[in-house]
Order: sequence, then structure tokens, then C-alpha cells
Amino acid sequence: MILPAVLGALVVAVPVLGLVVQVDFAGFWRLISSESSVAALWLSLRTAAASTALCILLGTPLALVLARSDFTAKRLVRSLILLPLVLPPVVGGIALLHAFGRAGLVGRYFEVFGFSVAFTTTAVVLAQTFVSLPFLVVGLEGALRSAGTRYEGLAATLGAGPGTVLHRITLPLVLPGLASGAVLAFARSLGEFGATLTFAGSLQGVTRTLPLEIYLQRETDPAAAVALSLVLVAVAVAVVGISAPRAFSVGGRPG
Amino acid sequence: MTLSFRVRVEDRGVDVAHDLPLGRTLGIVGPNGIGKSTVLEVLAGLLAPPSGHARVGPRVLFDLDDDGRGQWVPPHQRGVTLMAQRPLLFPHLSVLDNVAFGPRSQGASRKAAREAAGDWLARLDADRFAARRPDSLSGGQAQRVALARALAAEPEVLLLDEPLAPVDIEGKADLRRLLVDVLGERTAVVVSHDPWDVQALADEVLEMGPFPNSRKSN
Repeated sequence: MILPAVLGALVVAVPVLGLVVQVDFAGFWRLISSESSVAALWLSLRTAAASTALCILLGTPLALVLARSDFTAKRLVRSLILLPLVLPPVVGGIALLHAFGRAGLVGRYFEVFGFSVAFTTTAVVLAQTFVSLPFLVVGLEGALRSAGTRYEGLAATLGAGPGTVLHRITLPLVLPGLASGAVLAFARSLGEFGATLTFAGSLQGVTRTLPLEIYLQRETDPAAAVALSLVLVAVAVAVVGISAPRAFSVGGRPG
Repeated sequence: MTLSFRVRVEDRGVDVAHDLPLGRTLGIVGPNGIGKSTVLEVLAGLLAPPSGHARVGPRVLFDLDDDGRGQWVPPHQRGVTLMAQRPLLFPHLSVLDNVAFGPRSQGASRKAAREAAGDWLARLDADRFAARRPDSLSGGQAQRVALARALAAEPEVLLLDEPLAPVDIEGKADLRRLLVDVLGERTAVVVSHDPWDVQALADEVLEMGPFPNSRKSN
């Protein structure tokens, strides 16, 4: 048992270690403060924040419906929402392009109003929301299920209508689950590559997020790519550090 | 004026009916698993039975025909408050805000709701817990707070499901005395498997048992 466990841990640890020992710490600041790097980092933070906000706004009602209501197509809806988790991101990007692109299913109507989504910062946010939404919905739905409906029912017998129950009982009780879902969604958005490249392209300052920048730099300036990768590792470690105690006990008793 | 009900939940073997004059307390007794709690859940509006009816005076709580169609008033509009088997104090609110939850939900201002909550806590001799978090209370203390919370909602009918179960032996006599006191002129239904509790608290008894028709006695 011990040996495979150690091997398992090494599979994750060795590549990270390999990255860290490659970093040129003397020139670190110069490498990550180039104009294109800063633009990419700033764009990544902004778009990931925006898509996380969208995930919360759209994912919370979705999780509530999945956890608290009963309808025949529920399994189908849940599978559909989970699809981006298992779909290759590049396929997601192509799907988005054919939905919101210039000639896409919905996008062609946007064009009529002189409004185009593909290859803009909006497209980056949309791609990130697409891939991150399942993380929030799954985490929150689990939290809602394990919180159960006993408190909600009791609150109703005290005279609280459905709206009051939602904002004074249900949401506060699952706040830890919502927070860890949001943190995971943010991390996933920050790392998003395939769907972004396919649907939004790679324009500096507009759609070239940090992962795209790293991929590009790797061809011309490997040292810069390594330094930027370390920045993403640092952000990821910080994210996991904030959320891990909760993320792995999603829906556990709050408080 | 009575609280009259007939509750039928066939798949749990429940079929009971009773007329309780308002202001009196009904005790429901019977062995564990016979469906006593089910009756309370139906009256509170948390579980819809296949058929049955209930009224408080002229006011209908539910009236469902054999096909389950008819009137069903949602729990928050019934004036029926449930004190569940476990205290179920809201873990994210202070004791005071737990008790203030009912009045606040029914439209009282935050200040008025907290004042009412403070009064109820004082009446039940629990005001020293007001600022505490629910998870720092003992079983008996939490049950006392749960009772204050139920009463603060000013229900027309109070339902109590094994109110003395989570309380240790020393606390039991205290809380029983308190319950006798607050149930005095109140319309209430108490479920218990303990005949002593029912004898102390109830004016009338509805016995649920493994026989076809539930008996009624006074």
C-alpha cells in the first residue's frame, strides 16, 4: 500500500519540482514583468474573476433546482451540465464557436445588432464560464443535499416564506460549499487554455491569458515560460490552500 | 371551535382522526415507528398525505380527496409551528436571532423581533444564552431555546415531537414543568412514547397502535 501511495504522490510532485528547479530566480522579476507577461496576468485575473462571478450567478440557481426539485429530465440536465468536465476543452471551444461565433447558432443574431463575441475578451469569459460552471454546480449541489431540508422545513413552520428561507437559512448554511465551489471555478478559469484558444484566439491584452502566453513564450523564451508557470503554480497553491480544507469535505457541516 | 383533522398515509400505516377543542393539548402516544411524527409533519405542512383534511376553527389547513386533489396551505401560512425531535437550532445564528427568526419572518422589524425574542428567552429562563452559538448549548438548553423559538412565532397551534427526548434526566423535570406552564391555554399536539410525559402535558390522548382503528379516549 505504501509504495503505490508514494508513487502516486511522486507523479504529482516530481513535475512541479522539475519546474521549480528550472526557474532562473536571478532574472525572475525581469522575466515575469515584461509588458506581454503583465498584460497576460492582468487579463487572466480579470477574466477569471468575471467568469467566477458568472458561475455563481448562474450556477447557484442551477444547483438549487437540481438539489431541491424533482422533475423527469433532471438526470439529463445534470449530465449535460457535467459535460464540460469530461469534454476536451478544444471541443468545448469549437462548440462555443458554432454557438456564439459570427455564423453560429446564436451568434448570427448578435451580428445583426453589430455585436460580435468570438475573439473578444467576452469570449474568454464565456469559455472560462463554460468549463468552470460544473465545478461550482457539483460542489454546491452536494452541499445542499447534505445540508438537507430539515432546517428549511422548520423555518417554514415558523412563518418564513420560500424567499426568506432561501436567503436566511439555505444560502447561509451552504456558504462554505459555495465558497469552495467558487474557488475551484476560479482556479479552473485561470488555467483554461484549449477552449479559450479555439473560441477567443490569442490577441495580446484582449484574449491572450496567462496559459496562452506561457505556451507562446515557450517557443521564443523558455526561461520566461518557466517563470510564468511558477506564477500559476503559486496562484494554484494559494487557491488550494484557501479552499482545500473545505473543498474535500464539501457539504460537511458548516461552521 | 376545534382543531379537527383526519390524516391518512397508507404506506406508513397511518389513519387517525381527532377533534381537539382550541386551547387544549392533545397527546399522541404509541410505540416507536407507528407514525406519530408523520401526523405532526402532515399538520405542519411538511409532508403531503395522499388524502385527509385538517381545520383550525373555520380555517382550512388542507383538504384532499382520495385522489390527493384539493386545498393545501403551505407551511408558512398555517400558523402551525413544529418543535422537532431534535432542537434543530439554526447553526449560523445566535440564540437570540434563532428565537427572533419567527417574528422577523412574519414581518416584525429587526428590533421588535429581537425584543420579543429576549422576552421569550427570559420567560423560559434562558436569557443568559442569548449571545451564545447553538453548538455551545447542552441538549436541555438547546431544547429550551427551541421552545422559545417556537413560542415566539406566536403559533395558533403548537406541535411538539418528543420534546423531552434530547434532555438528560436532571433537566427533564425542569423542562416538563416549563412545558406544563406554557401549554396551559394553548392549542397543542404533543407526541411522546413516554406515558408519564403525556399524562403531565396532555388534556386528551390519541393512541396509535398496531390495530386497525385507532382508539380515542379522554
